[in-house]
Order: sequence, then C-alpha cells, then structure tokens
Amino acid sequence: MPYRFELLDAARHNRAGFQSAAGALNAYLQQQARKDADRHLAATFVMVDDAAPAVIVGFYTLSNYTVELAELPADLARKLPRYPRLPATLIGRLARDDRFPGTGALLLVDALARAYAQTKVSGSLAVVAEAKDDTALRFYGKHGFVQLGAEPNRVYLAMGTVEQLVRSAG
Amino acid sequence: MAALTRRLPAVSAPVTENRTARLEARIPANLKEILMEAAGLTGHSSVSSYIVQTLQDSASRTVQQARRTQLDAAESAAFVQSLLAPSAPAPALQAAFACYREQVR
Repeated sequence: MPYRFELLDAARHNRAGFQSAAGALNAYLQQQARKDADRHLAATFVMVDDAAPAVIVGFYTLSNYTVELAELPADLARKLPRYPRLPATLIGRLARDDRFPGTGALLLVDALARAYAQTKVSGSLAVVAEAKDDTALRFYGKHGFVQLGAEPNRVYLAMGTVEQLVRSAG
Repeated sequence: MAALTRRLPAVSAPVTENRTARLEARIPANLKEILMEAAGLTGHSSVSSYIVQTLQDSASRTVQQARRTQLDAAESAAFVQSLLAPSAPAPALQAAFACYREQVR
C-alpha cells in the first residue's frame, strides 16, 4: 500500500506470478491480454502495490460495447442522441490474486472511474460487465449492477450512477 | 478522398489473403463421418472447406455477440428509463469508493 493502477506492461509486470481462483482469467492475462491490446480490442489495467510494483494484485479489461435497442416510443427515442445503437463500456474481465482478498472492489471502482473519465472523449451511457460465474454475479449485484437484456450473466450500471459516485468525492 | 479509398484495399488485401495458419484437432471418428456427410449436403467440395466456412461463421458470431447486446422492446424501454433516471450508487459501491480513496493513489 498504497496501490496504483497502470496499463499492463509485459516488460515490467510479472504476469506469470498472477494466481486468481479462475484459471481462464490467469491464462488470459498471461497469454492473450497483450495481443488484445496490440490489436486495440481491449485494454488491460493492472493494480500494483507501490512497494512491489512488479506484482500484479489484480487486473481488469475495458473495451467498447454496443447496446442495440428495439423500436422505442418516439418521446423516449428523442432523448437519446445515438438511438438505436447506444455506446457503452465493457468490463470484459476482472480478477484479483488469491493472496489479496478484498481488492476486487478497488478494481471495480477504478474501472468505473476510468470508464466515466473516458466519456469526456468518447460517449458511453453505461458500464456493462460479463460475470463468469455466480460469485461474480453476486459481486456485481452487490455493487448495484442489474441484468442487461436476456443474458443472465451480463449486467450493467448506468453511467449516471457512476457519475454520482465519482462526484460524491468531497 | 476517393483516391485514398481506392488505394486502401491494394495495400492491405494481399497480407490478409495470402497468410495462412495451420490448425489441427483430434476428433472422434464418428464426428468425422458426420462432417463428411454435412460437407456433401451443403455442397462443399471438401470437409476442409466446410469446416473453415462453418468455423468462421460461428467464430464471427461469437466475437460479435461478445461486443454487443440486442434488447427487445420491453428491455429497451426499461434500459433507457434506467439511463434517464439513474439510481443512486449502492451502499456497497459507496463503501468501496471510500476504501479506494484511502488505498489507491
């Protein structure tokens, strides 16, 4: 402590040492994250401890997402500049190392704050998250996310809610 | 502008078209028989071309679905209402934000 967040950098961050409970997420960080960044598909942010900046405490990925709407009543549609395809931000993956319990919420807050900051240069009306299992689903639900459409593992939080959160900082 | 648009394919196309990679997978013998039959039924000259086409369609669909959600009319209306009148941050999220401000610089 204190922690800080950085873009994943294979030269400085020890990806091989990262151990979360989910093997697929470890494998993503170790084998896929850098390729996705190179191809501009998703950006990976890692949380490190100032005292040991090579150790990845946790990570998350952000990418662009689209929510496609069905036909809406005209009065509602008029209020949406980008109707019917609304831009959103996707937290595709989020995981902490098993040795750092309690840090998942810090990862989530950073992802939300970053998604909100990004709206100044690129529109985004909601933060969508992909929950890999029931534990992840409960984690997002506890923090106010609700189901998006018919997919039970896809949840979202309105950007207006994130804005209230970020602006509550006195 | 038009000249630029015309030039682009000439620059990028050869790279994507000529490069190939090899993929091998061990499959049950009876699956191979089914694949051969399906390839014939769909007018493919080889099992290979059938597999490539089918995999490409399926993979593109998977990738597309990971980047977007299609809502029906009721879901759309509920979603838009929630954006126009966003709820207050949940207590757990507010607590997490307080921790964040203490522990992250």
